[in-house]
Amino acid sequence: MKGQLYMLEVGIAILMILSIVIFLFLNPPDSPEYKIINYKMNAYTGLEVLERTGDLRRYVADNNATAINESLNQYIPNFLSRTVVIFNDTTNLTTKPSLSNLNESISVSYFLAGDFDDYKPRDVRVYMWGY
Amino acid sequence: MRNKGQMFLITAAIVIVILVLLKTSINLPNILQREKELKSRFEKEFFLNVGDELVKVIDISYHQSNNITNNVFDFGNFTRKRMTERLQSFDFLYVGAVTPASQGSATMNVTLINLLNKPVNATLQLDSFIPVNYSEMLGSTSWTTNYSITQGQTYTLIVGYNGTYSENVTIQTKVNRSVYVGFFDITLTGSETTYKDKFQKNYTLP
Repeated sequence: MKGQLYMLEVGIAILMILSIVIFLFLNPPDSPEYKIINYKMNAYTGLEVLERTGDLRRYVADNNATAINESLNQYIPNFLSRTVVIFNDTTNLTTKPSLSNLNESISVSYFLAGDFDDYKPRDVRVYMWGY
Repeated sequence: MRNKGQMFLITAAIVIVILVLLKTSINLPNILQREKELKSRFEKEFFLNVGDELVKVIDISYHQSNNITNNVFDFGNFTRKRMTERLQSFDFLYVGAVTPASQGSATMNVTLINLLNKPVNATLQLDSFIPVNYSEMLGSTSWTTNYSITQGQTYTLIVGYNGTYSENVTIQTKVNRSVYVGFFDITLTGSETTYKDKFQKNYTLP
């Protein structure tokens, strides 16, 4: 009985080591900074795709930050809290996150010169926190 | 001796910790390299957005030829302000030349925009015209000068500053058509990368 128990524990030990070895080699560890830049890259890619489809300019012309935020669902991991703010030259045109969130957040900017014949410089900023 | 079996588990835990530490330390240069590469790629993407939108200003202002250069200047200032907030640097020199829709003699307006973050001694010379100078042209300023030209001719505008910089801008005028030429010299600098681009865009205005 005692021998079987030892064997079981040896088995568990081997399993633990194996699972960690597999985990380490399948998922090489990344620095926290790398993860942060990756989140930024994801948000930027989302904005870029939206711009190419023409949706971003349309949403920005309408000051529709909510639509931009919703369109980014497939690019930014769900566990991250986020909000989109549209800025003109002097101020924010849509609601900014609260100061506590702002202090713990990372942000990505996408500049737009306007839409069709309407010159309106805008900074579309995605704030992300909770990483 | 009763805990002999548990020794395997304790040993396994120690081995795991050693493995994790070993893996992390072996990969540290790789991790840092990957981080640097990603940061650099991200900055490059962002800089491309800035360059593309500067050109887009002309497309957007296409139907208001009098506002094109002003809008480029405004967007340059807007971009610089936003990039400075992100500790990135934006250096931009721009020349905008516009001719009216007419035939025979006409006036060509040439505007130089200095967003180079420094005052420069600027020079403009159109073909065989006497060069005109603007000494101590401050950063974030623009300077407009006029030339009497003949529609349908092709001109070369030499843009220079401080005696060290010189670029040729070719301006092909058209009879009875308004022409706009924009010359861009952009340098964007971030923490990991520098983006430089120099190009000319020609437009026949409506």
